[in-house]
Amino acid sequence: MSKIEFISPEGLRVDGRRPQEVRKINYRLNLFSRADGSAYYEQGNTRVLAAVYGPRQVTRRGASKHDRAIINCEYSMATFSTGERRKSAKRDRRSTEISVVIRQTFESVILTHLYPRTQIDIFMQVLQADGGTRCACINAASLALIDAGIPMRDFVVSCAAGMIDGVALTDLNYIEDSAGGPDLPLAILPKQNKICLLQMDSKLTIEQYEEVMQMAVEGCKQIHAVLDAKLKDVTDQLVNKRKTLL
Amino acid sequence: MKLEASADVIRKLHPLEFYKRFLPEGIRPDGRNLNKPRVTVISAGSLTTAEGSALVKLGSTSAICGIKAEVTIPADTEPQCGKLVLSVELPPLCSPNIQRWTDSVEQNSSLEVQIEDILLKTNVLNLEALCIKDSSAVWVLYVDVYILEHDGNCFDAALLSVLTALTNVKLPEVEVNEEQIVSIVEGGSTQSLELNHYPIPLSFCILDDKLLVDPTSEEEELSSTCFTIVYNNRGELCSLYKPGGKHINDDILEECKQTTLNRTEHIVKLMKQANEAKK
Amino acid sequence: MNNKKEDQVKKVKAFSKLNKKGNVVRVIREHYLRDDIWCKSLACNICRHEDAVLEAPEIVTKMSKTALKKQKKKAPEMPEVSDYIPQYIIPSVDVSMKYLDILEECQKKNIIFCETVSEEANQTQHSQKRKYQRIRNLINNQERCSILFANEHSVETYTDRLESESQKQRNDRAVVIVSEWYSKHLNNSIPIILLSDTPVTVDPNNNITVMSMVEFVQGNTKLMDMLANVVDSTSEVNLFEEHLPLDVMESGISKGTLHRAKIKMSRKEDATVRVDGEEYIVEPNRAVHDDVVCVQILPKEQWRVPNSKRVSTGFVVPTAVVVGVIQRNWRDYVCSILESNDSSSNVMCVPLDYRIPKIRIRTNNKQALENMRIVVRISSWERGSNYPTGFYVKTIGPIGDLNVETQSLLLENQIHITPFSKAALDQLPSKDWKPDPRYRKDLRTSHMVSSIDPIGCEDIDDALSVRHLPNDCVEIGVHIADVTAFVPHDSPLDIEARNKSTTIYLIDRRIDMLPSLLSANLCSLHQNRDRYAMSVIWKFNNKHQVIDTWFGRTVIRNRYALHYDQAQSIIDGISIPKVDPIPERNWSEAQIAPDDFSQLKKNLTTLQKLGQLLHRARQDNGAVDLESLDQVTFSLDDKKEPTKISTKVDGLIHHTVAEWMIYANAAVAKKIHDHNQSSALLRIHPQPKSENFSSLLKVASVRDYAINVRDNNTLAKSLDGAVDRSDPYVNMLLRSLATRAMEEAQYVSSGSLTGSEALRHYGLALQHYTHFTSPIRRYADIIVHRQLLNCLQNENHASRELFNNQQLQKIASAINDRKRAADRAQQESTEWFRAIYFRNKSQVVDGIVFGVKSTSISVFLPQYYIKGQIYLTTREGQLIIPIKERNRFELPENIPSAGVIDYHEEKQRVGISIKGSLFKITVFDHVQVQVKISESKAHLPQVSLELTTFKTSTKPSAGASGGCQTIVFARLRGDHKGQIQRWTESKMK
Repeated sequence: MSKIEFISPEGLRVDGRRPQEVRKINYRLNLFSRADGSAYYEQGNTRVLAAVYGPRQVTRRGASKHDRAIINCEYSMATFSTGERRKSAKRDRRSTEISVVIRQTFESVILTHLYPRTQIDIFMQVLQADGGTRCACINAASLALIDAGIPMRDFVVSCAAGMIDGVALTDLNYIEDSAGGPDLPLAILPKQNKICLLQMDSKLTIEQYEEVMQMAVEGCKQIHAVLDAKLKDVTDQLVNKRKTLL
Repeated sequence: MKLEASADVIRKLHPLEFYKRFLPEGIRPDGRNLNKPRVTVISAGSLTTAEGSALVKLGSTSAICGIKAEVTIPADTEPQCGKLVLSVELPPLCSPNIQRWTDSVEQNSSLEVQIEDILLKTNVLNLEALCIKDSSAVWVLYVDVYILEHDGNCFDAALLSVLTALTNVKLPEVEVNEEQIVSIVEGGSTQSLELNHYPIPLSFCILDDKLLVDPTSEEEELSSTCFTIVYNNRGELCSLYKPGGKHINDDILEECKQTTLNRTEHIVKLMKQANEAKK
Repeated sequence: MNNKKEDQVKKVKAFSKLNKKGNVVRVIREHYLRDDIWCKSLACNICRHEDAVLEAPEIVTKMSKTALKKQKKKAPEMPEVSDYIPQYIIPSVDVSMKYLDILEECQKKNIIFCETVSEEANQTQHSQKRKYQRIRNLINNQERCSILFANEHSVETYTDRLESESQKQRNDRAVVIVSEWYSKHLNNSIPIILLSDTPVTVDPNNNITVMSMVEFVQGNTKLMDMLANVVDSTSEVNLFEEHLPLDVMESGISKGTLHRAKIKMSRKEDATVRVDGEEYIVEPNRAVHDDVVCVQILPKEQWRVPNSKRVSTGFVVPTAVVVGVIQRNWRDYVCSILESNDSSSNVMCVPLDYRIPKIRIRTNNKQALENMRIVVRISSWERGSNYPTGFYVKTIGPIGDLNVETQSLLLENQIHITPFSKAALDQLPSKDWKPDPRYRKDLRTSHMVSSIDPIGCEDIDDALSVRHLPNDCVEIGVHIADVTAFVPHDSPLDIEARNKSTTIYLIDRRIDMLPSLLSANLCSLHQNRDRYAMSVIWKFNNKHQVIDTWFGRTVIRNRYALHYDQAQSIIDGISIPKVDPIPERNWSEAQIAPDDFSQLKKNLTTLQKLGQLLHRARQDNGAVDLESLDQVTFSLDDKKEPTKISTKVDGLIHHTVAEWMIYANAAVAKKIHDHNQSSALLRIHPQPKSENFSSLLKVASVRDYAINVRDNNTLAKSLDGAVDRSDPYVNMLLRSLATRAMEEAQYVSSGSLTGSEALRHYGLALQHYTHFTSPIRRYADIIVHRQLLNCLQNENHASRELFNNQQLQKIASAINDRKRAADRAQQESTEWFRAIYFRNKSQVVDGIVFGVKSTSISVFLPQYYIKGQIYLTTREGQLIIPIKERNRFELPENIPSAGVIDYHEEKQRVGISIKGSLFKITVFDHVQVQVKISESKAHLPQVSLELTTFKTSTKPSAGASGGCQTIVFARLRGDHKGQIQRWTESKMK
């Protein structure tokens, strides 16, 4: 048994990244024909599927709002997504908490007042989990919402950062997450530089917090750059197909 | 004006009318003949966290199956047999009709029972192959199917994904010592599973007295009855499943059996190709 | 910040592993390949590294003739320099694992370790001190100019495992690729040496030479010896059980069937391990003292009688068996060669430490090593061998020589003395340094500061001042030498002081933590010199309560540097004889001007009175005054041979000074803790566990003294009451037993303990305590000074501390370890000198029994403050007859003891019957003891005690007890372990 060296003296992490580097990202839009918007998002070994249905009729009569759409979020992890099989408790507490958190994030970003008395459903399914599932789901949901054409104030990008052995690291994978250091998932609106979601557990001094926060913001910006670049291509293709913007 | 309304509107408002326009011509809105199943795409081994995995797409219906293996103590009654635990889920993202997990519980359960019956009762997998050490350690395979997109005929997609995933499973070589401590043999080989036979399903439905092969979800909703026939690659009939619904004649059944039989070879070839590609 | 996504190639490693619960899980890991893994060579112009380490060739002959002539003119005495072309050495995986010792010892530079090698080292299940750590140490040693090249993550050198090869072959191939890459990368300008014992093929166009280990060590005898040692020993006979592999041990420990423990060897007893508070005896099975082993506790039926019980009591004790070694804690051992006529190159070395087994080394140079103390390292212990195998490192010097034995002592305690580096000495100010009073409170004329220290003290680090104010108020100041003004944080001087952590006082020499320019001169508060100080000044009102406390930096002038007796004589008004000056220490007795005399007397008296009030307050709170009874001083002659042993006498003035120091320490502790709860450096003394007191209670109950150990208050009060009017030693010995029960006081960072109880100082009965008053000789005090300054400069807001909690805790642990090592070294030095003293002066002295066991008694000799055990029986169980009884009854030295010894544990008494006469030895009896030394070449000489007769008396014998009458209830107070330091300093009469 070896004590894992999370960051070697040469500055390399367990998988060969430097502390400020985000994992490799890949994504595809519009996979499902039945959903209004869908996206498949990969960040390193974490793979997430997101599907958006809506705006559509509210299923529970009592819940509909007269002046805006209600957002419904569901996050779920497949039982084979982690190294050790998860017992498939359908509604386990962690999934519920993450669903609530993501819902609240998007409630503030989606222009819900444009669709009163409707419901927008966002479903996220984690197929493979290797750390940072919460953030990957937010990114996937953003992409799915864009694919569905639902208007938002800005892109929501999310990235997690943490600190191990005194070094601040961006985009922790599962091994680094389990090391027991603080974990700070962050979601921002990159163009406006506003924070949508910020969570932190474990102890940090103020100076360390500043450092980790900075890392997370940089990570979000990196991810945004990657997502944006490809999105422009996708949009260009769509425009070409339709021959018009409208 | 009603007659000149756009096709989409009619489809939404009077779906049966819509279909009645197509069916007499022997064709369906998506361009298929009545007896043509959708294009099947099978790929294996995409999930690295699982010991075995497969993704099957039947047109727009997709099912992903992941298999995880764990070591456990065998049942007293069958000390040399491994175990297989199956679960099927239709998450809300697969269909607009399912908005909550609770909506799909019935469907999940019935799919699970169907698939499990086929796997265990027709002896698809030799459970003794999962034995590590008599009476002390066996493998248990947790087979989990997630239907990612539901456009009709989930059962076919689910069963095919389970079969492909089973052939894709790679178990590490382990040994157990006297103190019941499991250890992985360094540099040991991986064990693949051999299926005794491949039960290939095909689902049908009767819509407006016409027989449709491999219905989409729209067609399933409109149909008066749906049923599935499963044949294996040795030409043996493995399962006949018609859970209620409108009555049908014997000769329709014969026709369906023949169609299913003809398809088995093609599907088995696809599965084998998927596994080869993964290597 | 570079986003290297386009250049990175990502690989996924997937494999199955066993997790902690014993389940098979699938592990997937990403593996990124980079293009910014630099070669770190100074000779490379392409790579964009900032900290190149590998050397570059120095071509000198390319200089023009004129340039060469110029150089010769400038420095004609310099020899001709020739070209220096470094060689880069790349060891393969096998070589690194097997021959790491040789790589460490060969002193060659420019070694490139591949990441493949370091990963192998990290995973290896070897139970030795992890090879990975050793490779890291080699790389961190700047003089070796070695690096770790991350070849597994470089896109240019990563390679996948081919179908046809095993993992091992793939690793070997990876190393070959690295050597080829380096060669090509540097344009063949630097020769690359690939060390591999398995045959390798390389492209001949590159500047690569493949060498096997035999070729590599050619010409160096020491390395060749070492190479010969590392032969795979496949002995036929297996004398020991095989060790379990690491993962089996791990899973056993997590299941609870096996346990992890540190093995403790003992000189005469069985080896023991401690599991969950219980002690078990074990067969070591190739474990060496201090190794972390994995044991299995045997069932009761298999428990056995310890080997070493002298009188076979037949009682079995809990037994366990060592099934494997988790971590080896081998270090350098000082040994000497066992003489033998065997001419083979195999030599047995006997370590100085009794607990270490003999070590077998191979050398061709036996003659040179005879009668010398040498340093040996263990490399392995195979199943087929009775003894571990090791190799020779270096020679210290001839056995018996004072310097050699002192060095051996220090080395055994892992204290390395290195002279101060040039970088550190460069930081010192010049000798003519003058203080700058700006930014400091100037007390030179306003306050009469005086210091009280032992005779001959050179490093005065504390001084006191008293000012009487109107309304019966009094202002007391404690001024401590301001070391931090000369030693900036993290400077080379600071880091060297941190590594030393404390000044070490051996009997004949002192190993300074700071250079003598500071410790004995510029920091030291010499008489009549202006010096920097850190001061704590309290104002007391007429009811002796503190109304104000001031902390800060000052400049002071120490008016009078008094010595203890001198100070006491001024207070008492009794004159004492003048003390002669000591020229080699620049010391002479302070002359007091007649005008100042009355002022000085008033000040000192106030100090003493107030000091006593403070002490009483602490006693009411439960301070425990303890006695350890082991501090002696030696008088040495010119040849450094001891001529006299004297025991200490503590007077009232010592306690006064000590009390004020404690008060200052406590005030500073409170101040820094209030300012920063998470990382203040404090000194704690945990409450002793009740089982520690078992021997004290046993002994005390014999005389019916009731000692209440519930808390420090009750302990102190009951010890005060346990007095025998006719024998002052009884109380002293009880206090000494209580001292033994105490836990060790240690430094700790306040954030690493929770709960206010944890920070208390049990012995001093203070909520917060730290060390502040001796920065010249303790590094912890320097840290506290800095923390106090930080606190003063940032009164109103939290500031960035110099160390955070984790770092400070690490440093505190390190200081605790160094202190322990220094204490042990000091003790061993004392033992050595004591043994030398008694070498030719064997004598009979009075002794008091303070413990009785079934086959031995513990005695204390007050004349020399010696504590020891006297065995009543031999190992075989024979009774040892003292000389008087031998003469009286005409008996041989030993007789069979059966039925002759009668032991009462509760009454702490042993009864011996010989030929009808009955003798009884009870605790607190006075006995006659013969002091001898046991000589041994391999080990240091030790004092051994023998009874001259079984007859005892209850009163001290008149003649033989020497100077013990002068011992007045001299109780060492305070943090005894710390205050004792003051004593062993430099009191040489």
